[in-house]
Amino acid sequence: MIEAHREFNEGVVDVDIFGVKPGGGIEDELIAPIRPEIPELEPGEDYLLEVVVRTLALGHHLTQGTADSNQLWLDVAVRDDTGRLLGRSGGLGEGNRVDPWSHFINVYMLDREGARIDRRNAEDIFVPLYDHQIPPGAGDVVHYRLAVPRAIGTTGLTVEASLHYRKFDTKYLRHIYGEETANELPILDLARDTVTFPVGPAEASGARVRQPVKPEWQRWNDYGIGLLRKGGTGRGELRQAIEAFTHVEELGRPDGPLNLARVYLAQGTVTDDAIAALERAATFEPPAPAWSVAWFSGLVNFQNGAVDEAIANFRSILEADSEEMRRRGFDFSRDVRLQNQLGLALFERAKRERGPARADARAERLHEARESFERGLAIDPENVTAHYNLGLIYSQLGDREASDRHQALHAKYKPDDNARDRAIAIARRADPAADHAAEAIVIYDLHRPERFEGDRAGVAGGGG
Amino acid sequence: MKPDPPGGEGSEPQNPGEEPRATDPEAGPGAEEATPEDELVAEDDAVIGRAFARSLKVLAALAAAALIVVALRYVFRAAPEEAREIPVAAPRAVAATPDVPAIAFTDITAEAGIDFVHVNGAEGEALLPETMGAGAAFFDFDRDGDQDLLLVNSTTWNARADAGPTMALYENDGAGRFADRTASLGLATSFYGTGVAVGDVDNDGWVDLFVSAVGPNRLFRNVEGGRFEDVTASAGVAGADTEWSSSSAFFDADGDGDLDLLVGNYVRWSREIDIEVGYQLTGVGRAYGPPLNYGGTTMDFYRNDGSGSFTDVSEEAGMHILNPATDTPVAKTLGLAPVDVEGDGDIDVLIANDTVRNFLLVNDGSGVFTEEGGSYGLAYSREGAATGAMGADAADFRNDGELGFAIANFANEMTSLYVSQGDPTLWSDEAITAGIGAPSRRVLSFGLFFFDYDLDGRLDLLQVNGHLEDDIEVVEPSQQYRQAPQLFWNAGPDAPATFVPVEPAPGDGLTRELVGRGSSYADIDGDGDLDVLLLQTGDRPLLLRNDQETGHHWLRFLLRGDGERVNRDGIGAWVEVEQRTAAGPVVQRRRVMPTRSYQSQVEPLVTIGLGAPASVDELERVEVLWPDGARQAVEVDSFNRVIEVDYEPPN
Repeated sequence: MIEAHREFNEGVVDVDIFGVKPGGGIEDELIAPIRPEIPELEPGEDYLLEVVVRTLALGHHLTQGTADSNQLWLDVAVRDDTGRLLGRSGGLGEGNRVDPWSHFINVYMLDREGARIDRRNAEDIFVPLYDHQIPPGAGDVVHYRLAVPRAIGTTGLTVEASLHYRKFDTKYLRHIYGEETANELPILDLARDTVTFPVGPAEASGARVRQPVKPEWQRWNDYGIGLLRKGGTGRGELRQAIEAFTHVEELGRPDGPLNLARVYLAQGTVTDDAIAALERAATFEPPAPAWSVAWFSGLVNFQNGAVDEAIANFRSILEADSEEMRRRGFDFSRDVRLQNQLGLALFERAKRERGPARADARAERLHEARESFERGLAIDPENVTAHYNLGLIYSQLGDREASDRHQALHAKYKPDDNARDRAIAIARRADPAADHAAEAIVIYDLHRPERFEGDRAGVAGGGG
Repeated sequence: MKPDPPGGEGSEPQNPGEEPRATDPEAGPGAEEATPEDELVAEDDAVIGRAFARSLKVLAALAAAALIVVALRYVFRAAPEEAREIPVAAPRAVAATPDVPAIAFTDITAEAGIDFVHVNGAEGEALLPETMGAGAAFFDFDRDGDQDLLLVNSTTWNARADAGPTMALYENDGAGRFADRTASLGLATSFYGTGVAVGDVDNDGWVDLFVSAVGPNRLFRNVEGGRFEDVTASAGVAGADTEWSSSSAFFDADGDGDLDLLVGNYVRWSREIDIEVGYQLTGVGRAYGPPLNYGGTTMDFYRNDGSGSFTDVSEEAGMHILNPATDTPVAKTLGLAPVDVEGDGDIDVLIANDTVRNFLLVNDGSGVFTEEGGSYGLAYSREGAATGAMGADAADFRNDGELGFAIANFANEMTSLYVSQGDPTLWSDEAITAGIGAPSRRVLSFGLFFFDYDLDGRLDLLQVNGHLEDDIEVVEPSQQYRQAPQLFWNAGPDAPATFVPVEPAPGDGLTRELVGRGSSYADIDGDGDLDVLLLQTGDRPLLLRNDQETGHHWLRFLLRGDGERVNRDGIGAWVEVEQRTAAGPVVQRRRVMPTRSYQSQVEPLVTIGLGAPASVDELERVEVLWPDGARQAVEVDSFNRVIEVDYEPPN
């Protein structure tokens, strides 16, 4: 049974010990990729260890579903070449509890009083403290503080990073079976990566090094995606993401300039940087996917006020039916974001038709915009952007009743802006580990004095 | 359908367990001898059998027909359409900007004698108020015809009222040189000040001073220009002891000729709440916690009884706006823009809230407000989401009779520019088409205001910018802690985009990078054009003298109410100037309203730029529309002067 689960989850996720930053700070210089060359670590030095987790074969977020109770965490262990444990995050403690100061790939969900949803009490779900899920085909970067002891006395330091999964956490089991229960649920190893770093000039003996399965450009690309995604849109480690995607471009991949355009869009430099990056993506050999170039060009054109060009960009994607698209089964008319963005551009165009003389042209554009948002609603009936804009458009077209209806639905489906007011602060005060993990940029410490170091005997291995 | 057996409804129930005996036409001798009941069952079975066989034949026929149809369609299917590729298209380059008139803003802060430094109390704990800054006000406290300057100060967290840093009131000598009169005027008291509102609350002809704070707010009565007296207690406007108040405004809400007071409050904050959460920026140290994690508040509204004594009527006036899901206060107010939105003669108020929806308080004329931001389209961004709104201003910036609200937003968010769509109940964000969208995403904007810096008759826009975290560049290369202000020139109705970003010349005062917060304007040197004041948190302000040399003509209007029907400061009055131009008649409508930007007040005079008219005859109409509805024509016989207009009651 466990074997069946292991096989099912094979190759779903990849873990990559990607780089180190001597000095230990986000702003310090990166040494990467680790392998084929492996940098030498200095005794007494602090490093930022960059671990990249990438979803490969999933069609949905990792983990999605019961993301409040699925327990998925990174276990990073640092040992010298005698096997002595020098640092750990993600170890097990009493009753096989996972160290709460580990990185969990889950949603830390709260009720309206700021208490964690930890009893599968989904009916109380109110607002997330944080969401560490990874979208399909995307990466996440987990930062660790790695301190090399001054008097290390060995020639090698082995870092092993594995992604563990089990169905329920210990808190939940104790809620069911009693406070003394130990968590005996099987733990699956979804992926694993190992690198032995030489310490000092001597040759490391007994080195254990896994060969990465991803090509170098993809390792840089996944790292960059993880950096871009930190903290949500417009935040993130954008400076570091730019460096990563620049490497991808230098390695001859169109993902480089395309993803640079994503960063520029996120940070708002759309009048220059984003245009230049998309020009390079458009003419790259091999070419970036035409639909992606058209999409991002549309967004850039829209923000720069080139609204007619933006409309043409979005329409070109909707009307396209290329060989490549047929081969891959793409139908972009099913993308609600595309319908919304076209609607926004058409609405913006309508705003240019000012005054009584242009009233007919304005109404025509408003109807076009309306149709676009209606198509979006056919795909996602709860879409907040579509309802909001239809509320405005119907107002301007004189249909008060339809406007009120959409405004009410916008208010209903829109996340509550005051939801975080109390719950978040209470939750962060109550749980220091969650408080630490809730920031956009987090550095997990491998050397916390109170860290859990236990291993579960017979961890169902595989992965990597 | 099996027919009922003769003799009654329903069929004879079979014995359970017994298999129904099928009709077997082949049954020959040796079969059980048939009973009458058997015959009935056999007959029923035969009926069923025939019906079943018939059904099978029909179904087979239908299936055959379906197969034929499918086969035909396959044979005659349309040839696969031509593949339609997506044309490869990079975005259009940003158009070169039209010729923008040269500007010159000269930093005269030191030369003008302003040595004020804002103290925010930051000592490494990253307490939120430290990064939010304080405001300033230009007003004529001594009635000598020039604009003096009040700079609000915050303080260190443990300072004593009589020993810590204080606000500063500088007296203008008329030529733009300022002398510090704070102590002699009785204003040397230390508290954590944030915003300011000025107005003659007792209609005695001297402009009084309200300073909002983290903690109790203060009202200082101007005693004949010689000193200020703290009348907070008797006036009843301190607000709650632990409230964090921000922008505030004096205006006549109930039309009784005196100034009422609206105070915006930010978030429910205390040092304890702040310090217990581990806010960080780069995984180390401590950062400022976002307003998202603090409770909302309600605005305070005080009705003036005429003598400068106020009654807190917040709840009756409609200020207690609660979240319907949790019954908790919604607002996180940073900016206010009081303006008559409906054109019905009373003042409504746009409330800019940070990370929650904006409000539009629609006045019913008696000082009772109904919140209509959502249904009017002023509450959210174009995606239907709340923005991090800070400063705000309102103006008819296209000179076409439609009002616009500009709201400064957070980093990576565009400035909002809501414009009424021919109907005061319908608003749309036109920031993108107006040309300020993309440029404003690069900065974190606080104060902003419309003003005509080149006196060509069209309102331009100035934004003051600055980030919250001093190490933001570590992670966001496009953001710095200190950011230059952004000036947008109004290119007029025929331009593709109304607002064009202005590139200041190297060394110009507007190239200075600031931790910008509030802002204000006034003609401090009496040369007719507007000079600007830019404020920073935890640092010096920047006073920039406008040295434009367009040679454009201007008129400035100083309005005075009678203190009975219209408040002495003329707040809420409009000046309308209709001018004949080559492009047709142009009507400028500008209002007397000190409350603009972020936590600040601008001078009360109305400045009208006239461009280059040949003669005063080109002015078709110059009128004042007073808050009580009275229209008063104004005689103008020459340009480039201040015209004082005293309220005349209608005949």
